Amino acid sequence: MLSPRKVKHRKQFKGRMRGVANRGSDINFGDYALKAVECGRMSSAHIESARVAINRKIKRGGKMWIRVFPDKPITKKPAETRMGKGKGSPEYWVAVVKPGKILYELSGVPEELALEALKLAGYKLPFATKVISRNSTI
Amino acid sequence: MIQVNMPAAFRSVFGKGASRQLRMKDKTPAVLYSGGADAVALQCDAIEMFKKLYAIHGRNAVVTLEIDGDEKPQRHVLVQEIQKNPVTDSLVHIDFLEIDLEKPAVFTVPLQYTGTPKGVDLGGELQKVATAIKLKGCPLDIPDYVEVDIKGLGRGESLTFDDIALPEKVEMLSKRAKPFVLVV
Repeated sequence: MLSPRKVKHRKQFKGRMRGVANRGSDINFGDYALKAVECGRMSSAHIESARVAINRKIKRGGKMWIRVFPDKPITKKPAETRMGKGKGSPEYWVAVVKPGKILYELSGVPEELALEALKLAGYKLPFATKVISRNSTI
Repeated sequence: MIQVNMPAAFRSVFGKGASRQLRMKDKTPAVLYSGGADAVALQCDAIEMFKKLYAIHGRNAVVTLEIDGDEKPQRHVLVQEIQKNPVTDSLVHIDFLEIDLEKPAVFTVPLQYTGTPKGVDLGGELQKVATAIKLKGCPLDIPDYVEVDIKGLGRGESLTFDDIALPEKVEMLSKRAKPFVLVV
C-alpha cells in the first residue's frame, strides 16, 4: 500500500477540511475520471481497494493514473488504554480529499467499461464521488 | 478552424461581491484584452455561454464577440482561460484574447487517429505519445484537427511528426524527428 518513504515529522495535527480542491480538479492525463464531490480522508487501503476494483473490471489494456497520495499520518491509541500519556502512535496514512479533487483517471478502454469500472471504485470510498469524462464538460 | 458568434455586454461592476451577485443573476464576468490596448470588462449570459463553450470544447475556435454598444461591430477573439467551479463545473470567469486574423500565431491542434494498426491485430500494443501538435499560421488557416492514418503501422514501427501532411501556409513547430505513435 502507498505510504511516504521518509517524513520530517512522524505525527501531525488533525486539521480541518474546508473549501474545495482548486488544484488537481481537472482531467489531465486520461479520458475518464473519478471526482470527489464531498470532502473526506482516503486511506492507503481505500486507494488500493479502489485501484483493484478498477483493474478487475478493465482486466487488461488501458492505463490508469492515481491522482492522490496518502501523505498524512493518522495516530491511534492502543485498545484499553487510559487517557493521557501522550499522543498515540502512527497507525495508517491518508490523503485529505476536498470536493472537486480528481482521484483516478483512465484511458485506453471503451467508454462504457471505463465508466462502470470507475463507478465500482467509487463504492469503495468513504465519500460521494462522480464519474466524469473529458468530453462531458468544458 | 471553426468560428462561433457570442454575444456579450460591457460590465460596469467590479470586485468579488459584485461578481458574485452577477453570477446569482446567471451572468458570467469576463474580460477582453489584447497586446497593448486596455482590457475591457464584459459580462455574458452564463447558460448561453456554457452551451457555446461546450460546443467548441477541446477545439481551436475563433470567437466573434458581438458586444452591445461597442464601437467595433465585431471583435475576433480566442478563449484564453475558463475558470469554473471545481465541483459543479459552473462558469466563474472567462478571459478572451483579441487577435488579428491576418497575423500568424501558435496553436495546439489535436491529433485524430484513424484505423486500427495491423501490428495491434498481431498482438502488439498501440502507444500514443502525443495527442496534439503545435502549428503556426494565420488563425483561419489552422485546421480543426490533424488526421493521422495508423492502419499501416506494423509491430515495432512508429510514425514521426515529419510523416504528417499539413495544409499550405501552416508551419509545424513540434520536433519533426520525434515519434508520436508506435506499436510495440
